[in-house]
Amino acid sequence: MELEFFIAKVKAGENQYFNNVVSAYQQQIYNLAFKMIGHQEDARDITQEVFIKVYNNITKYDDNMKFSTWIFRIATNSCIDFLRKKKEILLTDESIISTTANKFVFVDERKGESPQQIMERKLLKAHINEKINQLPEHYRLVIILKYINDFTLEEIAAILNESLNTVKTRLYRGRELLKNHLIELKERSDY
Amino acid sequence: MKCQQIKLMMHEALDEDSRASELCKLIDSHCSLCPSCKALWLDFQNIEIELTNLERVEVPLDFSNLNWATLALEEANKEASLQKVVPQSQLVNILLGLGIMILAMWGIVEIGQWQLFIAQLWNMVTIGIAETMVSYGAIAVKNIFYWWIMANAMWKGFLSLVIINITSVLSIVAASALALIYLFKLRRIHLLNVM
Repeated sequence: MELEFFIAKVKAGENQYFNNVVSAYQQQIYNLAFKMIGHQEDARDITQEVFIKVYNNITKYDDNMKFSTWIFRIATNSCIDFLRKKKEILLTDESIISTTANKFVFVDERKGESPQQIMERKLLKAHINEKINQLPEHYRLVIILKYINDFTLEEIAAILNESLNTVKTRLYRGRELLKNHLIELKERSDY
Repeated sequence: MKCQQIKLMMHEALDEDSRASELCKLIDSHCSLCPSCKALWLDFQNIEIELTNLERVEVPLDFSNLNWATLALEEANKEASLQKVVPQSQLVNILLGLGIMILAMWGIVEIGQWQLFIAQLWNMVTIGIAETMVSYGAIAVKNIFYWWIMANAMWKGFLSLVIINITSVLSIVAASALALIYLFKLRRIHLLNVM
């Protein structure tokens, strides 16, 4: 309700309220950009670019659409544009993977798990992070929107301007690719 | 129930929270009899857990403190300065285009019969424009007849021309083609800038 008030104010030309809109979305947009692009600096630039676009075009925002759908549509398009311009996915960088893997030492230790199980879980987490970054961008985008930004499939369909079935298909294929990587990983560790 | 159906059901259970518990019962009862599906379901569940717990990153910079009006202005200035670069490349294109046009004209002047042809063509076009007010049908008949005579005359002339000086003809054709390409390119750049 408060956010709607700020959006209405900014739309009416009271730009001093824009920072409130930014505060509400900066974390989510930055996470989306970081997971899509993989570099903090680039993710920060994209996040800033998204908010500048929002700032410049807020008068064009149609109230019939959810604001989150609108802002995330801008964000996803910006990420895709960036990736197309770069024409490469930089996330296979070993340093990033190792940094990411190290961070998991502090995360998600479940009670009652043996050290080996904990180790396996950490390894799985690191591999899933790595493999998400290697997924084709359309699959990756759906997975990030669902699991990082916590959108429902219907909301994702609205953001991407695609049908619900397309979103489901992309999620299905993304999961299948991750599962295949997981099986490969298991087979490799068996030998 | 077939394993393939169960696999689809697994995806559905992961996609839809509302039907998850109902689908999970069916999946679990199948998995109790099918080890391969059981392993698959375990993999999917593990992936789901890890996806749900994916690491979130903190914004390194407090965006909410930025002055967005200034940033938007800076961005607009940056874009405007980028656009200023375009006319320079346009100038190069214009100069190159003009150079090629001059080369083509020189070729036409060198081979005298073409000069005559251009003059006649121009004459006909201007007369045609002036006459459009009178009768479209009559002008069309006149023009077709005129073109038929012109084409016959020029065809003979063109053949002898090729035989006499093939190098000059080839250079004219090449130069004209290049001139056309540059003109189209210029037109496209101009159109893009207008948009």
